Amino acid sequence: MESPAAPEAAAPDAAATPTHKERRLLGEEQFFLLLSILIGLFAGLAVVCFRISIEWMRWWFLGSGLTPAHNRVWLVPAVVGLLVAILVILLFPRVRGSGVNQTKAALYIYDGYIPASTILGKFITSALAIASGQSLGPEDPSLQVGAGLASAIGRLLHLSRDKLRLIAPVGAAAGLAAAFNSPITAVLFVIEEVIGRWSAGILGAVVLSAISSVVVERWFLGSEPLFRVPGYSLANPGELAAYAVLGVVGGVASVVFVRSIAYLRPRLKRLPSWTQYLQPAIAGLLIGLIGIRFPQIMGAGYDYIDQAMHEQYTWELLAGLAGLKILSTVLSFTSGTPGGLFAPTLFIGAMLGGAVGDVEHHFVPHLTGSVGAYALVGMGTAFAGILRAPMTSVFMILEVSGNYEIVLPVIISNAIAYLISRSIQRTPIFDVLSRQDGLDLPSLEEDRELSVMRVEDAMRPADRIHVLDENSLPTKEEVAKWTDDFFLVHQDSVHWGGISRDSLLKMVSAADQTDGLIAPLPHLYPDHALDIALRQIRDWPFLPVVHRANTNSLVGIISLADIVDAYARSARTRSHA
Amino acid sequence: MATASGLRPYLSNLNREPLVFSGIVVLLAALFAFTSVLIGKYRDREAALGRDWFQQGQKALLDGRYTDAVDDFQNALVYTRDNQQYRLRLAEALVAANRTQQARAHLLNLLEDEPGDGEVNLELARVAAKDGNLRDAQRYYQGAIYGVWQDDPITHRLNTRFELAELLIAQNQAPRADAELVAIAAGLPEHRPDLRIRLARLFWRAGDAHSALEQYEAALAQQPDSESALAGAGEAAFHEQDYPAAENFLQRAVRLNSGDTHAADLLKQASAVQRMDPFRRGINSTERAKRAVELFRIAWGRLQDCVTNSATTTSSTGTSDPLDSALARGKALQPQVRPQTLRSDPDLLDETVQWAFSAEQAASARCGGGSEDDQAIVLVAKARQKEK
Repeated sequence: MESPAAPEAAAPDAAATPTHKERRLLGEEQFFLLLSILIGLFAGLAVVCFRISIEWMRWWFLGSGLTPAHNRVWLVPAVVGLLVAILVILLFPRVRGSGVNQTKAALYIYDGYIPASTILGKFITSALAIASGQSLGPEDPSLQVGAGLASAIGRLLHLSRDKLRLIAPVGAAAGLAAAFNSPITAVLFVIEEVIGRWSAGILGAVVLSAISSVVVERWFLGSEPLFRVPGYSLANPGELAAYAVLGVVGGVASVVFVRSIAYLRPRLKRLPSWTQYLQPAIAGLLIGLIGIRFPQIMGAGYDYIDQAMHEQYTWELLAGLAGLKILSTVLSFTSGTPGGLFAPTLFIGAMLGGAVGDVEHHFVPHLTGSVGAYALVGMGTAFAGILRAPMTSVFMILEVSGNYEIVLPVIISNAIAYLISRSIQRTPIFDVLSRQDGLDLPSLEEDRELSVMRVEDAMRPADRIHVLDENSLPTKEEVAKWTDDFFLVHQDSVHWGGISRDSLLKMVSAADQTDGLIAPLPHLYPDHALDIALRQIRDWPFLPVVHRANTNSLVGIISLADIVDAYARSARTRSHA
Repeated sequence: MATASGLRPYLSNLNREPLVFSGIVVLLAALFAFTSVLIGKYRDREAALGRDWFQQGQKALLDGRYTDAVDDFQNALVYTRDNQQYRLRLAEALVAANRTQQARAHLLNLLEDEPGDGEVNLELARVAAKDGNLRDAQRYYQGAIYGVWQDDPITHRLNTRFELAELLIAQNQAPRADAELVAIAAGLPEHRPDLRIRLARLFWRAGDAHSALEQYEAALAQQPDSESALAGAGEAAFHEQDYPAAENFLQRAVRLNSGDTHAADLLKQASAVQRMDPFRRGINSTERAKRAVELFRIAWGRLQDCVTNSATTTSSTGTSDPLDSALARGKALQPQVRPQTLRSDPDLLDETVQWAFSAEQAASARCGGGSEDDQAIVLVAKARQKEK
């Protein structure tokens, strides 16, 4: 359902357009940075309108109170769910799901192409769904809207294919930054989850777009953060154990959430196609029925997160809300309703954190951290466990709280939740979704987890080869006795050379014709990544591997066959594991 | 021509991008303007909704529908999250709805923002008091007394001190309460007899009848016809054994409010004391002797009734029973107790009166409170003891 279908029209082949010729005032890079700011401004405005639309629609649908009237609670999500399903199936088939995978697909599959109809569709259908009470959030759709706007602007300006591909994540960061009102979190998430690598070329653009979108967002909506964060100070290091417990609970809850989605989604997709019209409506009806007693689980739920952080609920209610939010989000998301997972993730984490904190306070009353602090840390914990973005999860809490003291509890709790989630549910949620949709998007977590192979893993000892000294060459007779085809030559204290058997024989026979017979060889160090060796080796039979502190000291040699063997061994080990 | 047509694609490319770029900037400006209008309307609507919910909450709070008030204030806060007034009212509603834990959480957050805010400290003090946490309550009350108040800080601080004093009295912390009341007395504005009366009542409840009487008198100096001040002053004077003053105040109080039975009872007792006290200033020796004889007669009767109604026993320690001793001494005195004798023998008069006092006290201890006259004799005895 998340599958971003192939674009209606192929992306224009902009690579052929001589755009660089026209940009006389600005270089290509500067122009790209300027464009990033422009994209950030557009994304900021779009997200502001998106948020206001959600609020306005919510007033129409459910009224202005936190607790809507009962007849509206069960009726509105069902009716709007039906409308959303019709819009999605008939008009905007590419807007299902959260938007993160669609942006990744734009980056890796469609050369940065996101159709304009997707932006419009995502905006309308997500706003309808969230405002009607479906248990989804506005952040991931904002990310996709931002990426879509960037793609549209890039196409209008006939950017090269390379730049067009890069511009979608730039817009995604802007959209997410405005939705979260947190530029650092957005930049990290896009780098950690969408782009997957730190690249100086794009980092500047992503940062600029994120900042400019947040500036716009704050201009219109004010600078107050999403939540009023309670104060926190760690008085007793023993309290970290309490946060470790939260990590365990958060990790287990994350697995339950991800596995439920992974289990239910393909099964609902396999149902007859006419049921696709009804699935969001039925999900809405069920959520509405839960919402009659627990309206907190409807919509994004930021107001209730705020209340949980300010100790407005008992632990029983907090734990119940976490469980019901998992259920309702699974229903909403697997039914194909467009909307994001970020806000529900934060909601689940805040409620679980508050519940754990409250229970711990009951048994260990001298814990200094308030229940609100546990709710705050819980949000990061769920983020790490469910979305599997460990770096983002830590920085998000730091950015939202503005309190550096909370970093230790956050790191401990997040790391535990992340490890538990990863050990039980090996594939992260976004990868699960993309594979269910038949897309082979690169798994950025798996890439991160791959161990880097080094020269020392492939090199062999140099004891069976003859190492020559340029200043004291062997005699012709000595060479004749040796069977080697290639010899290493120690040229001076720094440089190594190589010579073939024929050249060496020629050299020792005619001492006056030695120029150019010894070819300079690159040398490697044992800790060099193996792909560096691969690039260096070219046609040489082998290369010297030397000690970093003393390049005279030969620690081994490495050949192309050694490198290939090492990769093969590693692949076998991984497949066994 | 051939050259011109060859250049056309280049020229079109050359002009296209700045044009598109300019178009994008214009579009951005238009979107900016549109969003500004949208935000303006949105903010207006938000503010209106916040106000509406707040007003509903205020009404619910006044009507005593505390749960509704909590919901309404929470709704109001959705639209104006950082509004201190809304948050304070929510805390008040939570306290009223007995959801003190939630109220405390709200207030602590407010306190984080404004640690010196008098109103927040006061609400926190009330929450702590409701939870029975006297130490925190005192701390927050002190925070409120020395905190910042937006309007009329003097009145707020005074009222807070009153509230703290009331809490301390309710918690049987009379010495601490007295200290607060003394501070209130020092800072009490002039021409506020109502506050004097409130303070006097608290002094009275704290067991400081003397200060209570002072405050009542000060209030009466400004408002002589205050029935409550007269009744309070009468009671305080009575307690201070200043029976003439008590009689005076109580007479005036009963005159103003004949339904005040407590004041009327006290007045009777004060009048009886006045009537029976043989050592009252201003009476002559004949009257004194006459009163002493009367005291003896009442005490003797009381003693005999008490002895008749209760079994007299000798204690195991071997000491004689006080009633028996009093009876024996009374029998001995009885022949001499005549007005003429007592008038001419002050020592005998003194002995007679002392006997009456001790007989009444012994009878009271054994048989409980007697008649109005008996009680009056006990009061006179106490007054004399105090004088000594």
